[in-house]
Amino acid sequence: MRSYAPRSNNETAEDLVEPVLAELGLISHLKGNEYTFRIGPKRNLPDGVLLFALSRYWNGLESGANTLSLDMLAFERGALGLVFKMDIDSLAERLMNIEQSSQGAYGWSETAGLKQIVRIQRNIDPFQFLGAAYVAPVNRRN
Amino acid sequence: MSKYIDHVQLAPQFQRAIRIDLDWGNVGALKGYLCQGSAAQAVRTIVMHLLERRQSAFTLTGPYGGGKSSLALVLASLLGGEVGVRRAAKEVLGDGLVNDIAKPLRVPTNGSAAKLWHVVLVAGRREDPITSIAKALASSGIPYVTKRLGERPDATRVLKVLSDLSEQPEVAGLFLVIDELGKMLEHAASFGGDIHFFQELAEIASRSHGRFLFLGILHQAFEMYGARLGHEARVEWGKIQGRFADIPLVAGVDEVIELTGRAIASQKKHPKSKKLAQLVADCITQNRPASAKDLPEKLDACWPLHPVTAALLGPVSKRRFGQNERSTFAFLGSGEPEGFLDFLKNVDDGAQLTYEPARYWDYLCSNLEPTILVSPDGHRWAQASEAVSRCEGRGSSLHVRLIKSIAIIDLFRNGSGLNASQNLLLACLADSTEADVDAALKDLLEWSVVIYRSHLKAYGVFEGSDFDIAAAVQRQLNESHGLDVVRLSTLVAMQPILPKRHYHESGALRWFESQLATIESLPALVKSSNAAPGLAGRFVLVIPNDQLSEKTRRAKCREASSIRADFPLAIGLPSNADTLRSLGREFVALESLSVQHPELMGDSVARKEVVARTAAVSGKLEEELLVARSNAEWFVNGESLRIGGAHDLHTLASNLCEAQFAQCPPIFSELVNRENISSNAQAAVNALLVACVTNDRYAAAGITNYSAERGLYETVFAATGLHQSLDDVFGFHRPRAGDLSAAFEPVWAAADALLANHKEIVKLTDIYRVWKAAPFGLTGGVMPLIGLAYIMSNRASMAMYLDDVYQPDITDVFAHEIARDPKIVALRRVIGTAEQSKLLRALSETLFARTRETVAPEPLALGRALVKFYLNLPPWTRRTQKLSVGATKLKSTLHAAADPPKLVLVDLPSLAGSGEPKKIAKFLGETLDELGNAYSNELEQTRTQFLGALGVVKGREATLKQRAAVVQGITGDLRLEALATRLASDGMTLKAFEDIVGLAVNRPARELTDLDFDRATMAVADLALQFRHAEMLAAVRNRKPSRLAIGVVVGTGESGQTTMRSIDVGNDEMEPVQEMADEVYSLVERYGSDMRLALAALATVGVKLIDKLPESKP
Repeated sequence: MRSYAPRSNNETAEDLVEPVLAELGLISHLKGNEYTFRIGPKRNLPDGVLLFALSRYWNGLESGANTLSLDMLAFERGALGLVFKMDIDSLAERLMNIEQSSQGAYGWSETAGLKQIVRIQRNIDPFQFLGAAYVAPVNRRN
Repeated sequence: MSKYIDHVQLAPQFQRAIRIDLDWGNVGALKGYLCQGSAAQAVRTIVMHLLERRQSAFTLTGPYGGGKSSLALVLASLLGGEVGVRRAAKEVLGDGLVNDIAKPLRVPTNGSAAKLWHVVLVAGRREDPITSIAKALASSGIPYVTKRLGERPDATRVLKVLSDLSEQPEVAGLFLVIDELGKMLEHAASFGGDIHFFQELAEIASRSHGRFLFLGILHQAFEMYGARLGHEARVEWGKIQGRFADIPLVAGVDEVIELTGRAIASQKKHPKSKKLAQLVADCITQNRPASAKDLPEKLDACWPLHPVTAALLGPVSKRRFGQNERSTFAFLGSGEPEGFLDFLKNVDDGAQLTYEPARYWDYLCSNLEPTILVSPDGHRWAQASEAVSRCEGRGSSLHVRLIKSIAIIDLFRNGSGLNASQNLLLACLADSTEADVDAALKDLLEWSVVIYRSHLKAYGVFEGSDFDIAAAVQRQLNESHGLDVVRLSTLVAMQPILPKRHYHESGALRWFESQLATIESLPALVKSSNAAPGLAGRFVLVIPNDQLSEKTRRAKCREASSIRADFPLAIGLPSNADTLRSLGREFVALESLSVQHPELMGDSVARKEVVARTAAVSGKLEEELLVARSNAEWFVNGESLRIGGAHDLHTLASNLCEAQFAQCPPIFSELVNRENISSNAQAAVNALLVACVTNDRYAAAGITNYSAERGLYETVFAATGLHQSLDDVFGFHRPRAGDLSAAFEPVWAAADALLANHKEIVKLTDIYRVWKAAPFGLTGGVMPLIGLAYIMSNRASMAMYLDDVYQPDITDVFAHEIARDPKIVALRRVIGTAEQSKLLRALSETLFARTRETVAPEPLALGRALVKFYLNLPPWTRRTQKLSVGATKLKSTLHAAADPPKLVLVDLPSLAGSGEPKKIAKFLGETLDELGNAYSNELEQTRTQFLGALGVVKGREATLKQRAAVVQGITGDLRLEALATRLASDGMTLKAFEDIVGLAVNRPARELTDLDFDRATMAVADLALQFRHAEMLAAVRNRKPSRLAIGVVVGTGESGQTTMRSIDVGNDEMEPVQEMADEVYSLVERYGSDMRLALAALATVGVKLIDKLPESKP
């Protein structure tokens, strides 16, 4: 539990910093022994990580379908929504730009009102997205 | 076993939402649409406005999934579609409605010559409305429209085109639909877009005499989208909304049931459910007599939804649970846990289970509870939820199902016609008997979980709490103005920021604190150096009060960021400060509720609500703080930086770290490369330190297993090249360029500089301080290990101290202290580089003076020569304790010396207690002399004693040779013979004496110990006595027996002081001798029987007599 909701200690934040899972903000501490899932937009989750998880999930599915419905991504076990504790609206908002963020590997389709992700490229390697989570230039301006 | 999903599906048209621009012209999209009463009413209202008020601009407002987009699409199809599409539209709307609106709306006839409307359909998105409309126009297929628009159309141009098109005589008019208009408004609210465009749009429509019809689709009132804006802006938005006629579109309760029934397509008959549907319909009709006549059939069509659940869907879909409104069909079609689809997929159809209200409760509970709790229904939800959990604690599953059913009906019954009457509850639990349900209800009443409301003839959830949280919070807010930022920052757990790239590249775990501050407190905060260990820097987020202008805020932040601080600091000015302030105020108010209202202690329902609200507000606040951190304008060293996302903040942190700790050597050990290490890691560090001092000449410091310390060794010492094999010998070496260890060169250099600048000893903690600071930033966890590596690699040139006591060798005790208490560990560079060559020359001369061997003035050669000198010393000298303190220390140092340079540069100066070459050389000279002469001095002393015992007068040692010749060959005692022979040939030289000593104890004299030597001294004294005895015997040998010859040897007092004389007495003289003897004997007898005393007395007398007697000839 501490890897998700680390104990905050006034003296040093090392325990708070170290568990990488804590940064995902999945669980927060209420009071005493009570914890709660924190479901929300997860704005500090980099696109690269999201895409990595999506690709791993998709590649692991038995069906070779090239479309995946938003509902499935939001609510199926192991899919983005449950894994990262994102509600369907926040997830949709993130995935709408998937064509840009995945550089054309995936696309967003809303034809006939059915919201789904389309796999455009073949043989997607989950690791191809991870790099993007690390590069983020700081622009100087003045 | 088959599941429901095998034969129950959702009708496809209900699974999708209409996307107005894409579904245009698609007959299939129209066919599924059911024009219900409420929709027809909305269309009639539009027409009425058009006729009576000349109003042409409308907004259609209703909840998600209410069929608004579909209605707009049908209308558009009717007015401007192809023939087939128009026919389909007429069909779904029904003849009655079409006839009513045909004339005022100039609905095209079926003929091919009919005048159509231009139809422009815009699917709203978060962007500028002008761009969206221009795009929609361009793709509308209206002839020459792109030409009319030109390149980059602006607002005026777009409005002109719209107006022109509507006036074209060949068409009936222009119908512009904007679906999701709200998104455009949100865009305008967040990015300050021009809302007045809509005002002008409405005005043009109204002036068009009904030729320009505008329909915007919204989920909530116009100004609600502007809720984030200030008061004045909202008033403005309200005015603009006034230009539009707002048509509400809300499906009635029965309509929702009917739609639900149509959406659920079951291929299996379910005859048994009919009775249940009838039962529920009866209950509903009782409370709402105006219900549809075919209600039982409609309810039954919803199977396997329980009829009560079906009847609740409508009311629930009208609730606003925060931003998460769920339309009826979103619920039916979504796979959320405990949802309807989940039920279909996982429940066996054989059991005849339905999706009963208790399941619906579970769905709401697990998916929407947090949002319901903060909605207007929050208080009642909290009460219901509290009742359920109390019941779960003591009741059976029947009790729980019952209370859940009561709870959900009680919460959402308004308008549904449902109430939790006895009959309805029986229907909810159709598989249980009436008696069981009655008994369970009685229990619930008794437990005060439910109450019976006799005026409704229904059960309701026991209202355990009447605490009005909203009002309490409001009171709190009214009392305090502004935001207590200090209080807030203690309440909100701001996530620290980890400079990840720096961590990845250096292995050092650091973190930046994030803090909240007011502008006023900035300068003091920047200057304060009170920091937790491991803190790399601070990110301070400023929440300014609203009185300062933007310009002043920026100037103040910039100014504060340029103050020199102890560690990196970034000051951020968030763009969402207003939101932060209002959320912060609410949060602080909620947090102080429990203090202000002690009655909360006894009110678990209200407490649950407070906790939920606090969690919701703190969640929002944390989310906003994240946004604030990524959107803020950050000031670093007086410079303004704009960064582009949450993880860019980590990049900034890494950049700051890299600037600060440019020379941080990489150590990849998450166990120790941090400030506070675990006790297990500490134990491993201790073990490794000991291994390193005892086995540093071995690979892996002699650790052969794969213990934690071995892991530390590999990551901290091996991977860094600090401990490695050079010239086939393992050891700690100073870092070198071009090696793995090169990164540590500056670290060593910094410590070297510190030592060079201090004549006195330097504490290890002082070195740590330098290493901890910029540009190194070593963490507390690696200090002991790097400290030891530094010491070990510098053993040859530095002296080590523990508690100010010089340590000639690094022992495990020393290693322990490095880890335990670095304060008492100290180092000293004994000889400065300038004095070093002087010292070496002086030592070389000193050695030459003693050994007559030329030794090169180099540490290695000198050290070896010293060791050689030591090894050449007689073993006795090496063993003896009879030396001065300095000589003893030098001796043991030389004995233990493994490192010649260290011996010369560290140990010698430390022993001499001085850093001055002259004094060191003098000390060495004196001590070497003492050592070199110690053996011969000791021997000489013994010889003097020996000579005394032999009665040799000083200066007349030569006589000894003759005396020995007399003794030779008469005793038959081997040792005495050897002594005599030796003395006869060589006389008493020191060399000869050494042999004699060896003879006395049967061991070579050089190898004697101090104890042996003492024994030898005694033995030679004894030998001397024997010698004299033999000498006397020789004198009386071969005498004629004519006279009585008597030899007397008497020894008294001091060792070896013997007196000897031979006398002869004639026979004639015997008489007085006998007389004297008798008299003496009787005298002795009178003194008692102790013959020892008598003999001593006689000997004393004897010595005296002999001394008096004139010397006879030898």
